[in-house]
Amino acid sequence: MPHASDPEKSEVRHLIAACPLQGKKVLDVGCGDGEFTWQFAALPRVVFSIDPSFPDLQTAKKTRPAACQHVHLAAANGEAPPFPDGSFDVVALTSSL
Amino acid sequence: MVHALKQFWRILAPNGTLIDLRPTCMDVDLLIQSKKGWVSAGRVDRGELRLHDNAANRTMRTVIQEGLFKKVHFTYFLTRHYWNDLEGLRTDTEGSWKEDATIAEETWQRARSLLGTGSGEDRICVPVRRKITTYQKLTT
Repeated sequence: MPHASDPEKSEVRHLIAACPLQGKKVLDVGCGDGEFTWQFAALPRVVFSIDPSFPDLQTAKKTRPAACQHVHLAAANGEAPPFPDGSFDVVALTSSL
Repeated sequence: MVHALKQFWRILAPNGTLIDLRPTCMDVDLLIQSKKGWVSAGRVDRGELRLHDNAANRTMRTVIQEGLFKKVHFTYFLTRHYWNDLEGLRTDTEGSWKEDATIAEETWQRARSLLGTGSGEDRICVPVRRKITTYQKLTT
């Protein structure tokens, strides 16, 4: 892995600028090991983060910051997201389309 | 992928926002920090991503044409990735970045040459160009 990936936090700054997340209910698709998710997940009211990789989700659980206890991590993919109609304000595809 | 986007349309609230954030397939420079500042050792070929990028773009065009989403905004930006040595970069280009980046042997050689001229605190950087696009859910 790089010694430092995006230490300037450019990616998360552009995400927040593109779509304010405060108070929103967000589906984070392709969270992987949580490296990017944990940079923004403290902002929304509710976050569901999904990824098909169990090992990556285990890493995400281990690295979850205290401010992100409200984030639900689940093994799922975008083809069959297990959520009711109209249940999210934002769906974020982070390197997953 | 079209099916997945239709699922995201289904679970979004009316006027909800879909965000597509991903790296682009544009080639970038392999930069070495030397006494002269950041110097390019050559290009990092990201052509392997082109097919995937094109397929993703076609998918989005399809759901826009079907009236499910409208594009609201997009912008490009850079994220920078740093290594302390070429061995670390080579490990990644042969591992987790294997499908994302190819570096020609002459670029490796120039990078090694540039590193030798530095202060001993050289760093290696690959700036990756990304695109973020926001879409609004449309309802009939």
